[in-house]
Amino acid sequence: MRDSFESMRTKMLTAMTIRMKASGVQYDDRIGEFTWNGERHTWQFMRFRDDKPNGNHISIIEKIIVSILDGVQEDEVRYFFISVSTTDVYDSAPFTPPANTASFENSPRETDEKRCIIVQRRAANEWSQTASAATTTTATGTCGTKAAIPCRWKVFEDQRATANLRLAAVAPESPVVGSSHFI
Amino acid sequence: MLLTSLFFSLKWKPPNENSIDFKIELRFPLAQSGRYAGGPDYSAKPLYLLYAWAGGQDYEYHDIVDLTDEEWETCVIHLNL
Repeated sequence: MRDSFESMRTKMLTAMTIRMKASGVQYDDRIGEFTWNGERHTWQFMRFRDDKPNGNHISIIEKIIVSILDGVQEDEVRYFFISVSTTDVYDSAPFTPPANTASFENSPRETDEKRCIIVQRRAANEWSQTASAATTTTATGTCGTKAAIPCRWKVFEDQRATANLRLAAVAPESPVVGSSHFI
Repeated sequence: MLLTSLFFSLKWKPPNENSIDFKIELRFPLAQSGRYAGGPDYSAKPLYLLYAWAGGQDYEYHDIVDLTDEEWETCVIHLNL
């Protein structure tokens, strides 16, 4: 009974997949949007991006992965804004807005932004140190720790090499079907 | 002034909303027996591969998506509906 149920199930799946393939819907070369699922350590499909002719470029992908690994949580940003508004986080270079508005307009915006980023990083670092010492509870609940963020790509230089090795090990002879891309 | 300039220079996204666009490729194993022997075995769960765009027409293999059997089945069923 169990066997017949199993075979029925596989038959149904086969039929459905073939129908999917024959349905005339274009599944080839589709771009999908993925997020990193830290719990399952794999990519999580979000949606098809048929509006995009190509996926993200490799250089962009590396940057996004860095920001995923960096993993600044909402609590950290929140903490930073609170700490700026209550205490003065600036230590070495206090930001003094010029009295003359015109000169402020002329001042290079870039340096201002850089300083903001440095302070932001510093506050986040401070926060993560205090957070690891004691569990901090904020409005959004207990903060996530850095350890929870996955790190599959520690060395980017080796990343593609290991990926190719992995592909060779997993799929030595798996055929590329039809027009090869299909979902 | 300080908070305003900070607010406008902050480009922050929660880590789980940082998404990447990959090209999807499915590879089915060869059917060993039965009606479709020699061809792709559509009853099997395929390899779910992600390809990163390397400029122009080039794509580079990036990673494998670990797909559970249940996820694959729901995927098939949803695409049929």
